[in-house]
Formats: sequence, structure tokens, C-alpha cells
Amino acid sequence: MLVLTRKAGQAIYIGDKIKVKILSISSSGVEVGIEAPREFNIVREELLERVKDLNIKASKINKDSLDKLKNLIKESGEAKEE
Amino acid sequence: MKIKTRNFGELEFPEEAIIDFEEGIVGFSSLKRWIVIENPEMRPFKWLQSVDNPEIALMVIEPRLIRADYKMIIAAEEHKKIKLENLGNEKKWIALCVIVVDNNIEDSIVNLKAPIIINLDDRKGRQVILLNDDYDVEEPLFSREVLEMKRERENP
Repeated sequence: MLVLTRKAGQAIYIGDKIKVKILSISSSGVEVGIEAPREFNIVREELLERVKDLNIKASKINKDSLDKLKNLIKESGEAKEE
Repeated sequence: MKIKTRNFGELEFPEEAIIDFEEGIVGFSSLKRWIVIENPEMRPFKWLQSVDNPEIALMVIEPRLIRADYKMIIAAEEHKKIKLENLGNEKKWIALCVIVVDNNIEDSIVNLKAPIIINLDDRKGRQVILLNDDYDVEEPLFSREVLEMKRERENP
């Protein structure tokens, strides 16, 4: 990993189209400004991690929960017909 | 093609049914081939079943059934990857959102922030993270009305 030291107000370029600027630094966090063409998807790592964790959790569905869900579908279907 | 799945027993389907996820699905990057399964008993829910690992299936739902006004803004890079110039023609694609069914069924959630978009013509799929901030990755699956109804039935 490339490691660079930057001060508030300083920036780096990644290629000639992406600019990452350090806006401010405080004890609560570092504020980063990113200028990039619209085609790039900029995502917080923890968001991607949450998506990943949820997908893995979703794949472990057990039969018990599934049966409960089936019942709920059946009940709500019956309720609509009433 | 035939596979033996954990949830649905033996499944037979034509090769054309396979959707190609070039980068897999988040958390399952090595699983590139998936199929959509619809089971009348489970409507309106559907399943995305991995062809490469028959143990893995995800329960999904079309987001418009949760939010009628569901909208997606995605990066141009994402459009390119699923070969859709834009999302203008709604006949060309389908969006499916992953459901996590909780043991306490009322706490089940649906991920509206990261839908899986499938290009129906090219059979290409990809899970994207929306640029718009309208939804969270964990939104309640059931509306208050459904849960009220369930409670009334259980405790009349």
C-alpha cells in the first residue's frame, strides 16, 4: 500500500481524473473531498462490509424461519380474501 | 442442467436460464452463475440460487413491492458492467433485493440500498450500491399493517 502524509488543504491525484483532498482534520475524523467523474462508484468500506455480512446471513436461512414465513404469507393471503 | 440444492432438492433448468455475474454477488465473489427461482407457495418472494454452489441461495423480492415509488440512481460504471445504457426501459431489467429472514419473523429485513440488477436480454447480473440515499441496507420487510394483522390473529 502506498502511504502518503498530507496536511489539511493538501490533495493527491489518482490518474488525471480523480482528486482526493484532505479538507479538515480533527479528533472526530478526517474530512475527505473527492472529485471524480460520474462513472466511478465511491463507496464507504463499512457499507460494503454490511452488504457482504447481510448476504452471507441471508444465505443461512433455516427451515424453521422459512416455515414461519410461509405461514405468514398464507395468513395474509387469506386475510385479503376475507 | 441439473443441480442438487440444499433448499429445493434437485433442480433442472435450461442453460439459458443462467445469469452471469462476472464479479459474483457481494460476499460470494467466486459464485458467477445464478438462476432465479419462483415458487408459487412463496410468492411474492423469489430466490437467487447459485449454480456453482448448490448450498447457497438468497431469498429476494422486487423492491417496488416494498416501496411503490422505489428509485435507483447508479454509477455509469455500473451501467456498463451490466450492459445497460440506462434504466429507462424497465422491460430490459429486473431489480431484486436480498432478504434476511430473522428467527423472529417480524424483525426480518430487506436490503433496499444494494439491489441486484439483472439485464434480462444479456442475462447479466450485478449487485450495485445505490448512489441515492433514500434507503438503508436494513429496512423492515413487513409493513406495520401486516404485523398488526398477524398480532390480531394470534391474540384475538
